[in-house]
Amino acid sequence: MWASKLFTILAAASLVLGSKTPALGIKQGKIAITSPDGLHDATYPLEPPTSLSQPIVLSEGSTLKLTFNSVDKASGNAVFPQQAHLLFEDSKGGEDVTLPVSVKSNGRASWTFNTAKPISALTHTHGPLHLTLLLSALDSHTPLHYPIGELQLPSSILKAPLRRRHDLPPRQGEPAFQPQQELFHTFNQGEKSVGFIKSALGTGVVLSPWGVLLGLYSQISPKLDYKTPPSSAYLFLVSLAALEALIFVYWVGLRLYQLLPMFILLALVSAYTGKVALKALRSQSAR
Amino acid sequence: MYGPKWSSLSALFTLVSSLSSVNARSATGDRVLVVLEPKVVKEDYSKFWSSLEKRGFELTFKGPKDESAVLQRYGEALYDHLIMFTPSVKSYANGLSPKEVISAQFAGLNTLYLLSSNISEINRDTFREYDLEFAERDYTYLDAFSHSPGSSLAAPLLYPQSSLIKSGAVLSASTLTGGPIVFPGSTSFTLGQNPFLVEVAHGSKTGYVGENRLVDADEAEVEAGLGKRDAASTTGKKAGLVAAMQTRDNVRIGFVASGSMFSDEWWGTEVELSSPKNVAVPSGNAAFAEDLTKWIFQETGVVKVISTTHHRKGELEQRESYRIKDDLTFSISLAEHVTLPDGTSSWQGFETPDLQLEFTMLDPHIRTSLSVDPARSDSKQTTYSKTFKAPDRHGVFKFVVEYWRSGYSYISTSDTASVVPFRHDEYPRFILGAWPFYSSAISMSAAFLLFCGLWVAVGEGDRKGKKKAE
Repeated sequence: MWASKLFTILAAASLVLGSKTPALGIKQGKIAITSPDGLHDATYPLEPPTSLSQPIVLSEGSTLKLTFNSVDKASGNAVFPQQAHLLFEDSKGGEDVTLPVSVKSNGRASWTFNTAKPISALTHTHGPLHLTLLLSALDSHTPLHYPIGELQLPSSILKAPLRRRHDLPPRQGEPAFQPQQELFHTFNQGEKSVGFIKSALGTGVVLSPWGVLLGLYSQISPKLDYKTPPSSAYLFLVSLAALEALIFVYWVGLRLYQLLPMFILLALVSAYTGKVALKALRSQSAR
Repeated sequence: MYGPKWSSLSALFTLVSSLSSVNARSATGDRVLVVLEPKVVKEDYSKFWSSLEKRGFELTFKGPKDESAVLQRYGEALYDHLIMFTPSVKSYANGLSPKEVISAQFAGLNTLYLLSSNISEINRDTFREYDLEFAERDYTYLDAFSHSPGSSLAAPLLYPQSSLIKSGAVLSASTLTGGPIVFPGSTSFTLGQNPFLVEVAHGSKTGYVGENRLVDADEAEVEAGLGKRDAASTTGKKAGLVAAMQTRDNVRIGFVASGSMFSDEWWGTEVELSSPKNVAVPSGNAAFAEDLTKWIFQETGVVKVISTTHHRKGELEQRESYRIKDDLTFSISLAEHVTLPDGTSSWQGFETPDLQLEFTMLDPHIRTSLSVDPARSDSKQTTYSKTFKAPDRHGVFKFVVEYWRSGYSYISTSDTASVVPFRHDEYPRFILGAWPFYSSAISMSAAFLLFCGLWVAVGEGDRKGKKKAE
């Protein structure tokens, strides 16, 4: 009985020990920067899980080459990973980019980035990129998440970010999914109007003949022979004045259909009083 | 004497009222057709079906080759919603062919497509109509860094903070901050540029789309040459897992890359997180399924226009024509569909900060924001209004309110009114600069009266003439 118990204990122990899945790791990892003028050449060794202390700043024309061997961490044997990706996270909130690393059957992996011929996916980023290496091999090994460090691309190769689905302006025939710019209408400027001074001067010019008239009249007035007109003449003058007043009131605020009846009425009155007055005047002047 | 009668009457009343409260809460209807392919076992999803039935939906189950399945008859829709769980079906019955389904969608059938990693060619072609390009056959979404320690990486966990997207009313706040979602056996798709697509869930930044079997280097090279493993579009956040499309007629079509996420295995159970270890939390699958089906079946995010009015500022009457430079006031009332706690449909006010009004004649002349008018809003509707000056241009204008946002019904209304120029007597009447003309006319009248007066008063005074007369 104790033998069977010991056996089960040993079997369980071996199961636990044996079921520990191997972990993925990298060996001889390095990033090499080369440039045509040789000024910024550098090699950075990669030792997971330590990230690079300094950000990698690429200058124009330089080439970045990442090489490593994907191995089983415990035994050091080469492992072909099912997932070998480089994750570029844009720290300024742009889109993440994931690029594959080409791995050979012996586990040797390399990835090259030439700023003279940049990968288009990376040119639409902006700002420094956090670089992470992702290696996984389904359930056979525990995966490796290795944050390599920061990478800064030269600003000359960076282009404008790609259009997102609901960015403005909307494409032809499609509605806008964001509030659009407000539009205001510029009204026509009012017509230029004549000022008070010009108007006053004009009125003065228009009324100046009255001055002339009154002056001349005052000169000939003593020579004139004034006689009292008959009373019907006063009535005639009043009806004429009423006619003029009606015309003035019409100009200020009446309508034609309101004017015409009164005008016709007053005109008839004026004609009659005028006939009577002129008869009386003729008879007066004949005496 | 009244005891037994009252108790039976009250029992009858409660029975009748409970029956009537099992109305669907959807704004459009409660008849759902569920099409299950032979590989899918209906009992594996019993909790999903019962949750739908509890919400008042009437489920009808049919197979993809069932000739009795008909979506429309004589121009009338027989179902209001459709759940298609047939990813690997190679041919359908006539009534369920993709052409029939699409024409039913044009007539208002909301659809939910549940998929798996094995998608047949006929389905793949159908989904291209919605601007979705699916991954290759047997390619699943895998995440080696985010899955329960007990299960394989083919059943990855999606964490709401990193994988779910807040698009309007599609997902509720509790789902967006809730437990992780198990997403087993899923395919993946990339969304095109169609603006009517709504992204609901995508992969996490460490996930990728690949085969769930160990592939050696040579095979991987061949596949890469064939373009099957395109990392740029099938990794991380670019791998679409749940998306939807809302057409211009507000018909909603959802695509869930993993139909198995609705199964009883993950519904209301606990999952172990990948990190920290040995921590189990309730899964978010049930909450996600409820939120998504509520949106697809027109229960949440449904907005409608109650009324629109326009009038001159200060008046109440709506006119057909206004004058240029008139002050015009436009108001619109919006309401959002809501389910009351007792399970019935109702409408409540819909507040949004970025509603815009366009005063348009061919092109918008004025575009301005509409603000909430609290005096005319109540619990059932929200009224927005704005006062502006009609432009200098005369012509036939439209008051256009368009509100296109992911996750809410689209609003598009227009009211026509003409704007006429000034009438001849609407210009300023008496002008300061015209005084010379006024004074000349008045002085003409005055001169005429003076002349008449003088003529009457002044005699001829010519003795010669008098003598002649004598």
